[in-house]
Amino acid sequence: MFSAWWLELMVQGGLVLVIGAAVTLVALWLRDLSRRRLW
Amino acid sequence: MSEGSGLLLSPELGWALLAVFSVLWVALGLYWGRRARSLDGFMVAGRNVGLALGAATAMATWVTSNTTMLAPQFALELGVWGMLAYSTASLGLFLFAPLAARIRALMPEGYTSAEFIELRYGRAAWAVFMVLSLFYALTWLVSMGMAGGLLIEALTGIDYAYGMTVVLAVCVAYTVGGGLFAVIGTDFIQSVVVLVGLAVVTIFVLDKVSVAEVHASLTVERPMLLSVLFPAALIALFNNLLFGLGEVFHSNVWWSRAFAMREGVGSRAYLLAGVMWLPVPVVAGFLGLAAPALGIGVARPDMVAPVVAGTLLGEAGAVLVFVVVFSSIASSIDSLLAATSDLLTKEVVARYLLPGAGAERLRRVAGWTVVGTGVFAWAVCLPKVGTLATVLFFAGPMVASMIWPILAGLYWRRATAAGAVLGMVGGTGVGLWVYVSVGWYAASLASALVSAVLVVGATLASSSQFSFERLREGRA
Repeated sequence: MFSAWWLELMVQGGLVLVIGAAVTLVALWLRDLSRRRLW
Repeated sequence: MSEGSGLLLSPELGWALLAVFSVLWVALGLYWGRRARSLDGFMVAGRNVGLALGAATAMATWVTSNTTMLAPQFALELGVWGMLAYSTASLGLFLFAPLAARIRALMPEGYTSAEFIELRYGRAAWAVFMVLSLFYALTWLVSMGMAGGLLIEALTGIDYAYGMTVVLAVCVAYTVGGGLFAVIGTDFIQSVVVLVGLAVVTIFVLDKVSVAEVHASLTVERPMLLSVLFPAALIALFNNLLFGLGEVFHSNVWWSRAFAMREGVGSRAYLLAGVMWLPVPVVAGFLGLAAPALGIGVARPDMVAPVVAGTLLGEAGAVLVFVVVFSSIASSIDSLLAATSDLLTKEVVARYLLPGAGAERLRRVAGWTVVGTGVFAWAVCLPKVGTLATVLFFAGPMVASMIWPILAGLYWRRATAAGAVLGMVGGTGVGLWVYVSVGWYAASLASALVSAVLVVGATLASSSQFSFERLREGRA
């Protein structure tokens, strides 16, 4: 059986990654925009 | 929550949200359409897309309503392995990363995946590939169109036909207006919306019930969902993995992005997209697991995520879910419209119907094929035939059969046309038979295995050598 610890790791870790992904996308967008390298 | 009706949102609010986002997407599409006047601009966004937009578009396109709606259903029905099985589809993005770089290097002026197949394997393989590829693309497009109508109806009470029509019409409008520029630009916004929306709902859920409480509740009431050895879920895991690989490896949706990204960006963008996509079905799946612990009864398993959000956050949560689902559907529909239009324009119209047409004429044709594809999808969606999963999973064995012909074609000089054709046809045939006789959860697995044996076997039996330089030369 998946332990509570594993489930906690998956869910909390997943949430951190989701938030991190949003932050990363916006940061990269700002970086590319400042360098005029968006597209 | 719309009082008394059982709906999460009132139809009036639903129409208002549809109107706001429709105007937003179409306006942006027309704005970015200024860049999409040329054929290259329309089809491959000028071949200069950077890392931010490249990663966002790859991630957003792979986040469909299935990711946010089916992943919780998988978790509710197959437990922890269900949501992990869904997340294995991220491997498609990870493993496409080196392919994206290879494709860009081998075909710097390329437009479609079918073009590669013909240059690499010849006309027969191209024909088989086109049939399978178009079937998959149209199947996915129809499933997304249906999902749009069904979800809007379930959330707001707006009639399926109206909701579906609005979703498809909006996506057609901004894709025609701005081509791949509009698709990629809106994908960026949609990806941030999905990630932020999912994070907010999950934080609210965790505020009401901890992971430990969910685990404790499941241990007592539904211990099977926590089982490490859940055979059906394990088979589904590998099946989903191969389904995902097949989808990404063959589909022009991903190849067009590989052509669109600036040199050196493709592999990093797909790797980053994989990392960003991986947690989405896990976090969304948790909403499904949390429902029993929260005491939330769910009549329809595919509605567990909106019901949980709506119950905990009220109307604000329902609006958030609506926006997230609309974004995830639109980010896939626009990509399918653009990629399918590219295939039809370059592979059918330019080759057989208007062989002497110049780039300017083909640019206009591309816009019309987007419209035609959208109208076709609308006509198939209208009668509402089949469930969401049924429509999409039928394509699983077809796409899984193309993994090995694509891989071998890109990297193995000795890979032969006969192997590619046998792999696609044999894999599809066996896979569909398994789909009908055994179940959907093993069909892609069977298809990929048979295809691998046929591709490798035919190649080992041959001594021919392909020169990859021929791909750079393009078609005569």
